[in-house]
Amino acid sequence: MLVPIALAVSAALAFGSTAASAKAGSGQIKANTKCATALKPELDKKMGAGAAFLARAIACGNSNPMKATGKAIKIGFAVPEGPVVNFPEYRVAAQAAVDYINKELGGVGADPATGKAGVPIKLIPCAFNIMVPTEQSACVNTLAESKPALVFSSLSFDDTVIAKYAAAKLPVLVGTPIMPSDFITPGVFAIGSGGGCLGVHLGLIYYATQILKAKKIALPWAGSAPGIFCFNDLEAKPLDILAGKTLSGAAVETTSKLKGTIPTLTYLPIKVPTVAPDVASYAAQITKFAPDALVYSNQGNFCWDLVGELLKNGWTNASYPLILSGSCIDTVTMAKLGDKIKGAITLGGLSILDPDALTGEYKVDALTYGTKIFTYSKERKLNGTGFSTAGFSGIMFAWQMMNEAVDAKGVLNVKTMVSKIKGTNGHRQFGAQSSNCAKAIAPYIGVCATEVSASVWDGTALKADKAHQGFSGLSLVGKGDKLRLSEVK
Amino acid sequence: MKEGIAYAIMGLGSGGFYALMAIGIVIAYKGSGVINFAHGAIAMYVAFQFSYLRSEGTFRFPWLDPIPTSVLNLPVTLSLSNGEPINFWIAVLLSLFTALILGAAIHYLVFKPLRNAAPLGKVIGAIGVMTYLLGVGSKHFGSNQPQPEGVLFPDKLLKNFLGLGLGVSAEALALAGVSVIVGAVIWFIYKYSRVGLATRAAAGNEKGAVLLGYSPDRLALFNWLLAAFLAGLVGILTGTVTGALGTGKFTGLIVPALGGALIGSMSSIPLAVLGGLLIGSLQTFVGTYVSGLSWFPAWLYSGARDSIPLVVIVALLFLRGKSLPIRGNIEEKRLPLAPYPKRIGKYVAIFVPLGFLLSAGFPGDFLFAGLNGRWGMALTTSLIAGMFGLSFVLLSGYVGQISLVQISLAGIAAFLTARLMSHYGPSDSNPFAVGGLHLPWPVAMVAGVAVATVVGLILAVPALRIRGVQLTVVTIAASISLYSFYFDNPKLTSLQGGSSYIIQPPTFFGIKFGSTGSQGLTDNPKFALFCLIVLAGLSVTLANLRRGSSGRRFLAVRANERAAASAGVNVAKTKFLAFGIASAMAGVAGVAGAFQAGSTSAPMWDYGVGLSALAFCYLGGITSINGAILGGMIAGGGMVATFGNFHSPGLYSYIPIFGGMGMILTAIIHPAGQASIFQPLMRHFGSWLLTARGKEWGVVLRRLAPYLIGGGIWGAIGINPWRTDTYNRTWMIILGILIVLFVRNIVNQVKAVKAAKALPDTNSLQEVTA
Repeated sequence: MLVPIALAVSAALAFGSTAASAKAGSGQIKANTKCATALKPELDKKMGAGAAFLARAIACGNSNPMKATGKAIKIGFAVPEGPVVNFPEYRVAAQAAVDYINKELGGVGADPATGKAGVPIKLIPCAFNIMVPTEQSACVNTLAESKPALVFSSLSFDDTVIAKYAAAKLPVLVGTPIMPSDFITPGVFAIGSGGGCLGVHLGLIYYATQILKAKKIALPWAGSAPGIFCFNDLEAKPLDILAGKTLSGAAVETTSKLKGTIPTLTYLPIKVPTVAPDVASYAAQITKFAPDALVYSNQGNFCWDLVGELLKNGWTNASYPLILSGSCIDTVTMAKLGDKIKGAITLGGLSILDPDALTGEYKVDALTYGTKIFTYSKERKLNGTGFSTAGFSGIMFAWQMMNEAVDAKGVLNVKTMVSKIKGTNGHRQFGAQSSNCAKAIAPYIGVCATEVSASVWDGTALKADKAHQGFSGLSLVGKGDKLRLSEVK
Repeated sequence: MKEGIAYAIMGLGSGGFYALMAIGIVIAYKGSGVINFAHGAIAMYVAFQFSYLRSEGTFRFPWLDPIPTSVLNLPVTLSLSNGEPINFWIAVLLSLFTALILGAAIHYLVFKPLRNAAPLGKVIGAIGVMTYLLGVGSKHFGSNQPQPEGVLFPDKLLKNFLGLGLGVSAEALALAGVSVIVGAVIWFIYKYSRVGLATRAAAGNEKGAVLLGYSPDRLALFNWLLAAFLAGLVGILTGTVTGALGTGKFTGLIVPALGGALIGSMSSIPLAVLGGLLIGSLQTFVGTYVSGLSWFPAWLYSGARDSIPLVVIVALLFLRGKSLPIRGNIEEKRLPLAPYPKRIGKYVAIFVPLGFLLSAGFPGDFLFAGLNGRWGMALTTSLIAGMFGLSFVLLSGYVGQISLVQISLAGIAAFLTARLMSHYGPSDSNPFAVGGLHLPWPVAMVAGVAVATVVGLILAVPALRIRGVQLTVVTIAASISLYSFYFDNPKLTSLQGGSSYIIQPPTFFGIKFGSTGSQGLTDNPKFALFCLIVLAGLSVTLANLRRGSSGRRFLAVRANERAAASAGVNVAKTKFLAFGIASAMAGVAGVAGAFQAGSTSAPMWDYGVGLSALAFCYLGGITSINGAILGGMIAGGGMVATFGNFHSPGLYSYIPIFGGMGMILTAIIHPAGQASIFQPLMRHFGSWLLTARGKEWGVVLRRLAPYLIGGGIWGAIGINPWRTDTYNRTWMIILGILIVLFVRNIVNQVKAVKAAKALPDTNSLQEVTA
């Protein structure tokens, strides 16, 4: 009776091993056409380490595209895709970046000068439905099984998952850091442009209070799990620090030098629930409050729900400035609103969706993204969002760092790669402001990019606010300040 | 107070939305006796259709192309104007046409076949339609959240409305006004038109309506078309009142609308309109004004808004002093038979060691290394889902009570266990940690489960007055309230910023059997053994209950409460007993789930998770222990889903679509679930495996060889050589073999029927059998 089972098992094993060896078999390095473009070391001085390498790689990819060969280095990629929270564009763009790297940039460890190809990258995607509680943890198991060099966590909605990656000894890059564990877990690097909550929310408060000098701020905030933390710790806390007291008059403990510098500062916090049927009453509250500025961050179009109601209440740019996070950017809706929202300010990491708004190497990044995403992604409608640029840029950065940790034979040293990422200090990052993991301050030890830039809506497009590019609001909180996790009256 | 009144008036906007939704829900209930959970999904689809027609002139059919070729395709998207927006009125007509297509399809394909099904079957049918539409919506519209076009005075604000000091949006008032007008029109139709009167007659007494010459099917079709039309109308008219569109948004707002419909007793349109408006108004009044007052307790802030539907429904039940009416049916099929469980001890003795062997493998990786990584976790996920399913088997399968609050009870047990086990409070390494009593896990678990049982018994009180689908609505409202009031309330849980309770791995005489294995992954075989033992314990308990006098009382109550009472069964006591035990079972599953995750947080206990668990349990078989276990196997993240994802990762995004279709088909074709198909098959195959020797294997293999080889070759070339998508060849080979064997089986069955007919005495034999 056991004989047929044994035969079947051996046949299956044989089939599996043949398939596996066929995949891993061609590990030779082929010579490609040599690229004449030389390295420009001065770029490293101007834009940070890695800038010269990236510039030459992109230029050589255009003039002498080179295919990667050999056994692939794997990158695990966790992404939410389901009926309620669904960001397939993150995965699609990441795969497009991998294809671009493998088919044009020569993979990891390529040398355009000699025409030596590197090894390819293989993306191991793991989609999870946030409505199935175990799926995000299951992704840890699934990705760990494939033994990736690192895991790219696009958006995490479970605060315990990052710790599970750490327990499985997998280095993690976070594309869009929103949960507290994304910021404070050792061994995790939140590379997302603008630093997710940390960079953007502090930047919003910095822009309102230090640049616009607002003293009466309307502060609607998203009542989601990430929103609670981002509001309490990165909006309400710095405002209380600036005022020198909480809303109820209690003292504030901080090491920030800005403590009590705006004693007359006041603000109106309004929690906007995630499934609020309508937000008209919040707009009425804000209008009644008559603020000097409004600061708001939420998921995409939820921002425009509130702005729409404010418009009904007669808001114009002359009333008070709207300072919105980059996550609110939706060019289709903004174009529809046109001149009605002229003057609205958005704050976030570098946006590579509009090359005309950029200059120099950043413009090259934007042009490269604009070309390659449409070459390698068939899902054309998904290519123009903030998350698609985050997916593409994130993988490009992972590739940049892998190149710095690969030996001459194309073997990646993961430990070296992790220490290189950890040591980044003004490192050039494709499609984003520079990576500064070495400068991360406690308790936000995982955040590598806190600089943000402002853009202003001119009625037809978002234009860079050139006077306010690459600034950080980190000075609003003190080094070692306690995290504020709940509302303090 | 003037300000408060102004906020209450502002709430009429969302109230108008709820009222219009409530009218549609009442109409669907009048027509088919279905509480249409899919009503929000229909509105969503039409709202997106309208938005896409108005922005890029594309029309999307509510299906996907299942033919994987580039040659032959089913139309999915029609471009009507080369990317340009189309005329407003044409867009309105096409969108409402979409609603009518959906209404007709839902009637003919789902609820006509389910017309006489048990209430649970109809609930599953509605959840199936909802899941299908959400899945298709996700594929068609992705993560896009377009701002809807305002239709009713979109930009107008009535400044200082009625001298209350605040402006009120004209669009919100207009939507409320439309809901009143539509309500009046529909009321008029039901009051005075022939079709309306016939519908009311059929809703009251379907047999009587049939005797008067009315066709319940045609009446149901009329009502479904009307309900879907209204859902479409809401999708278009709601405009900017409910803000940016999202695939899950209107489904998330279904509960207040259901509350409005319940205020109207699922029959009165004017009261449903009033209920919807009242709930919307109260939500804004409480959420914006009252909660901001200095005396308002901080612990009530979270959830005050979401709990209003529950408060209104429960208050109504008590004020009315009688149960809500039940719609009449010609014949209502009962739930499938609840099989008498036999020899459960033998199965436990076989399957617990077998399961452990499966998860642990042989020592030293000899021959077989056990299930690790994704498979190890999938096994424990299935086992825990099976435990949870057992609570549905008892409550819904044995006693006929459809409760969706089970997920909250599981969460209560998990939260309390975690808190009681916890030791240290916040530290530098974990600023979110919440301190507790540091009790041993068995004590903490018993306490957690006990509290969940008490809460379950309290929530059972409404079940004494209402039953069937209405209990479903009340328990959903309770589940949502518990989520907002407790799970997501930092003032009560001390969980800050979306963090979780961290649970230390449980130990047994020094042996750690937490879910984390040696590689840091969730795949510890010792935890699988724990789950196996707990599942076996719960199964034995349930089997003993079913076999004993309690089981007979359960089934008597399920069959007919009045008859059971007249036979001396204390219905209230029986229901309480069932609710109590089912709550305890859900609690145990909740604690096991928290042990598996190593933590627990609010999103684990969302009512949507409970809906999905009920649906999977139904797919497995809601009236049997095997059904719960099989339901666990096919649950999200379980063994079957993991197998599917492993072999065909591209299918992941189609799971809601296939899942929804599976629920509908099961409810229609085989309400007893898959377990009743597999059970005899497994028993037969198991006996054969025990007795078969080399000769028998040889005969079977010789007989099947051509099919195995042929199917394998067919699969190897990809089943369909013209397919354009990517696929896994190994999986295709298995699929090819399965298809060939399936077809062979059907051919054999047909041959057997023909052969039986050819026999002269078959008919008489059949008559005798009948």
